[in-house]
Amino acid sequence: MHITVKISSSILSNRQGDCIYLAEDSIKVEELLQKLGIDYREIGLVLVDGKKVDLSDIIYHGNEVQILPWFYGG
Amino acid sequence: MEKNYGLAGNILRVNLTNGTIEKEPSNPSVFKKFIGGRGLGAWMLYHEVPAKTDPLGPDNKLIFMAGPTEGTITPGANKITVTFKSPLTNTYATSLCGGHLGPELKFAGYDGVVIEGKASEPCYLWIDDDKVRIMPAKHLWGKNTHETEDAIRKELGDINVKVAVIGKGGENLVKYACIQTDYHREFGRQGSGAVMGSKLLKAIAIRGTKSIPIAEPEKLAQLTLETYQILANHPKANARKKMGTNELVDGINSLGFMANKNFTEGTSLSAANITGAAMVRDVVFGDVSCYGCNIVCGKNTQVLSSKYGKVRIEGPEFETLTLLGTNTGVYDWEHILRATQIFDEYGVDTMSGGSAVALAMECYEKGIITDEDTDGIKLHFGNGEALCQVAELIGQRKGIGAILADGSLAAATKWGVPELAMQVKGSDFAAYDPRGAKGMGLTYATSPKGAHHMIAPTFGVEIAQNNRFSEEGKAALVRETQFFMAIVDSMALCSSMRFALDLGKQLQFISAVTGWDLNEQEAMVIGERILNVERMFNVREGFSRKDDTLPKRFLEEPLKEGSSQGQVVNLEKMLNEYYELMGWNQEGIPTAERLGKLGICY
Repeated sequence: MHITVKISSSILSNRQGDCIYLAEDSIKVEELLQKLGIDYREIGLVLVDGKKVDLSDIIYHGNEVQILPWFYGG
Repeated sequence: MEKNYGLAGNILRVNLTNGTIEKEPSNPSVFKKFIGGRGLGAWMLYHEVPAKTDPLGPDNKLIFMAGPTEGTITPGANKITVTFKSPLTNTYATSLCGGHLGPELKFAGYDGVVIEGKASEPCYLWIDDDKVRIMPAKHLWGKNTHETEDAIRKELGDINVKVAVIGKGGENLVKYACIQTDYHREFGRQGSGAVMGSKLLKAIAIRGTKSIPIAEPEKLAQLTLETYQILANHPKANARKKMGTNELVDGINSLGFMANKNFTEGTSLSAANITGAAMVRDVVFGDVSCYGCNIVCGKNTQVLSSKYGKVRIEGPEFETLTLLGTNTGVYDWEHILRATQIFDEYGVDTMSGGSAVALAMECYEKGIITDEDTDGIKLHFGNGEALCQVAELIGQRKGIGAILADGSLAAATKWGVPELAMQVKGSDFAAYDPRGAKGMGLTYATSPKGAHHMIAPTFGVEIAQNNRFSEEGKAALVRETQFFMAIVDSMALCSSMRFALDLGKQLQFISAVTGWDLNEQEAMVIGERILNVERMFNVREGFSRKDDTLPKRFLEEPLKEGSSQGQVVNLEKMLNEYYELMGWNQEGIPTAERLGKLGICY
């Protein structure tokens, strides 16, 4: 199965931009972040197919995940 | 006698008409009522600049005001404000500037400087601790901002002098000319540079060697150490350290509410060329910090080989990048950096400058203006060379630049299409399209100085709460954020310190520096007091509900594509709720009862 992940470039992980994450099974948001090397403290919002999810929610094959940082105006 | 901890002790009052220089003792009870900075500036402007004053006449004032924590080791306490009546909007205006000017003013022994009157010939002010002089500046008139800074330091023989200058934009009374310091830091918005130019004041140079009395030095040191540690490990602070405020580009663009082509679009694939990560990869070669900051968000950038030769600047930060770049359809570093350099050297606000060019481009594409109006410049969206040409013309007030120098609303009105100017009360928008974060619509509409994002930047909370398309609850959010930001600005704190300092923590810093014992509720009342004073200045000028509005584009034209597709702002409901929460009548006028509760006489 595959999950499309879009990571905002302001998140300081080693994976930036769009990527396809290949998983053997459905996966929790929290675990996906771990596997991508993203510190959850960097995250302001995770959207799955445009809807807000929690860290404990599960992502399935074909989902599109958008990982966004905290936003502070400047 | 009680020591006034945190305060330098005096406010300097300089009258350029008759050449008098006076020192007035800082009144701690007034500081306690308004904290300092923005709050105190608003109070003084309201009392000292009468209704219907000509913004470019001798009766307008430039009130530079530092905050009580400024110049101490409080992290990020480096923002000095200038308050004045705006020639762009005819409203109250305040503009904040980082860098080193504010701390230096405190070191010289002053909490503020009030500039009054108008000189008979070009001059600059030289503040050297207790010695304050008005110096001739005929030889500096006509120089750009950077040349002026260099010339004054050379003339005074001290490279540590901090200098605030205007360029030819201010001399030419471009209505959104800015005041610049540290070469690339600006009192950016609403035309403080034009007011300074109207007074024939080319610069203010400051050298200070004094110290600031601290109520509890050990407590302040401990708080500072803790804050530095939080910031060093804070992922958001680290993103800003690496990319500056341009860490915002990718996210705002992907959420579909970033200014593109005079706000006709909310997103662009081409923005991938100019994200924070792309900037680090392509053009950054160094970091620049303001006084007392370990985030270090300033970025030195360069394009080594271009049609303009080597272009080397500091920045652009997010608003400049987007309003000179994406909003004009220009997505390459060569032209964005060069346009930033031109506006910086002329001393012109890049945000309003970019917005004015974007308006002209839309008008050109729609055939409202033609080659005849532009002297042959092909003002299509995406024409970076045209952007740079028009930037020069604005600074010089020549050709189409003379029309755009009066602001986008004046230009659009002249061309018969005022609705195409993306502005509130004459001041241009920041890059966050309010259709993608509805609270921002209310922020822009009710801001006392026209469309300004930092009066209440609510979009971060709106995104995190996943309710950015809803108008529900936004009146309360905007109101609370307005009060909070009024406190941050009055303390003289950089807004990036919000990463580490919530209101409670900020008050601990105020207490350690000044000995004042303020709780959060009392602080929010101060924030409300400041907003009401600012509002009363505008009410006295004739502003009311009719002016708290948004361009038709945001109210009636849904975004056509991207993650904010289909959205418009339903402003009226939010506005009704906001007025009610503020204790204002439905015309947006503060009631006598509310003002009385806030201790404001009018």
